[in-house]
Amino acid sequence: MASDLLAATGLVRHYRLRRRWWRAEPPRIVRAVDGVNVRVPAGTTVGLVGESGCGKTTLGRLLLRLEQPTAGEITFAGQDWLAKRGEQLREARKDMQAIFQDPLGSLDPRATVAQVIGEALAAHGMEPAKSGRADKIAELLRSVGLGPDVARRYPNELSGGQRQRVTIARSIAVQPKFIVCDEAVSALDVSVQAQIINLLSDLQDALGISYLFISHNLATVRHLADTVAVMYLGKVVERAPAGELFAAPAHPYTVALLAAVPVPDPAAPRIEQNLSGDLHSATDLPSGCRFRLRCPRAAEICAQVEPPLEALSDGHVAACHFPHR
Amino acid sequence: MTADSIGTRWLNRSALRTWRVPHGRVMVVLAGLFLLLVIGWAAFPGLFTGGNPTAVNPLATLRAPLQGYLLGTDQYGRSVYTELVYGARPALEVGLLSTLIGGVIGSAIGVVGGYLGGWVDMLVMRLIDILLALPGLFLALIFIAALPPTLENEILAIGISAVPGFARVMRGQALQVRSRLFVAAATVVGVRRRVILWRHVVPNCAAPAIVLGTLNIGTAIVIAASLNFLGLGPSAGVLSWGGLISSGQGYIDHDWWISTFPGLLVTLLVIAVSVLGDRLRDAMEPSSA
Repeated sequence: MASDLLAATGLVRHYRLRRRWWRAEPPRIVRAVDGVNVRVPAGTTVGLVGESGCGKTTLGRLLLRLEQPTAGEITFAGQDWLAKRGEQLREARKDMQAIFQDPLGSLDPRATVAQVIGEALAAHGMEPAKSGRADKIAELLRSVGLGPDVARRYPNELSGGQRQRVTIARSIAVQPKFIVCDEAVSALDVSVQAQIINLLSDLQDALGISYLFISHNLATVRHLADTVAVMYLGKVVERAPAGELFAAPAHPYTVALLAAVPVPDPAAPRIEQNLSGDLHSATDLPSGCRFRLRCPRAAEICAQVEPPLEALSDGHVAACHFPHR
Repeated sequence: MTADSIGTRWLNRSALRTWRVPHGRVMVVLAGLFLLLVIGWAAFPGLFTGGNPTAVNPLATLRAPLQGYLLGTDQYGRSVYTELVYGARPALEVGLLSTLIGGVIGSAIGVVGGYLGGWVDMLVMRLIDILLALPGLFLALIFIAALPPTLENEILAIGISAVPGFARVMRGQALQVRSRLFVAAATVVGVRRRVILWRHVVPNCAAPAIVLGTLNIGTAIVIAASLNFLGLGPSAGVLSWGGLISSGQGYIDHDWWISTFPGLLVTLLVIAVSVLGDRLRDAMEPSSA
């Protein structure tokens, strides 16, 4: 446990929906994140997968302190991360960076690449001299595979892949220990996705950065992650080392997710296990197991008892009464 | 070549369409030329008229237009045209400076309130709501009645009356910019809030502020003319179009030109400014980059 860079326990984020005063009903609560534990050992990548609306992005925003959790604790780099406020928090943010899904949106359309990266350096008093800063920006751009001429450009003059490289350069400019990659490659072309994934992986080897890699795409997670957690309706339902999760998934939801990944071999046997129905509303959850209404294995007990995360083997946990073995 | 294209070659329909719309190029060019003319009056009144706006001529009172004077004379024998030319400078001064004052103060309140949010925003915006409940003219009237009658105070009063409008629009703009991803990205990087406000929120709010400012110049000129018509504003020595309209009021049934020409001038100027403002909005809004 001592080697964990980040450890979040019992993280909860509920959104209270506005109640209409003329309706006699209790306030409705969206349980976006409903008691999640995350551990990221130093120098590793944790993958977080789940379908749209399962709370992956909210979890990322909680870790980044863009939102305040309703309950829970976060220990980051050995310190109480949620206790930091104001200027103390601003300085500490240096250690935890983010790469967002939409590279164009995460760059100010009215700022050049040099301004964007320079501002990150300036925020932490790195390279205060003007001449040194230009060299530093060029060096950062080179490390993400961009030429120094990009520094003068505006975001709308760059391609999607170049923009994401710029946001990566901004993130690593402040020498972080940890980066939350929230769907960092989902908006990019497949060929560019591979380049960015390789870049992230190279940067990890060179700089020893840890990642939380949030994605709905299992294939990209498989490439990067050491450990994978599967989220469903605000809860982690299975967590395992990447190899084991893909080889021997235990939770029916994970099995269904893996079955939905297209296989590029038409002759390969397909497991038909399509999920019926949509993601359940996070406002009124079913009793017991939150997956039971879509689960092919659901039984009596699933409606009564919510299954806890139980260890199946070393480092492999799943929250299911009838896990696949 | 098809028959259709031969038939329409001499008449470029798409070009025709752009020239036909009321806010198309013809209107923009006309508005621009008219505005240039008025700016010319304000800058070099001596170039446009040889007369003296305060020269009284008891032998030439109430002359109709084109009877030796282009737009006729008033009850004291002063040339209406000369008075209009010399009235351009104070009118434009009031329009520009009061918009500048109101725009800067109002935008600052709105942007800071919208970006910071919380109780600051709540408090400031409720105050703005109270001011917004009063029409701009009435608000300016309250302030001008309380202040000594000088041109500076008229500018100040009209400027203050523009504050709530700017604050309201700019707050909405700041709220929208604040929720954009690049602000979250800058926050995560550890950029100070002050820097985010100046370097990211303000530049991305600037375009609508500029458009609003342009449109407000016309409004300010009308408010100034209205105040002067009511006898409020700079007391002596400053020529005003509104004052001219007011002084011709008693003669309107026989000597219509004294009030009509300054009224027409204010109307045309406001139309010209808003046509250009609309064009500016079209030019600035679609490209957010």
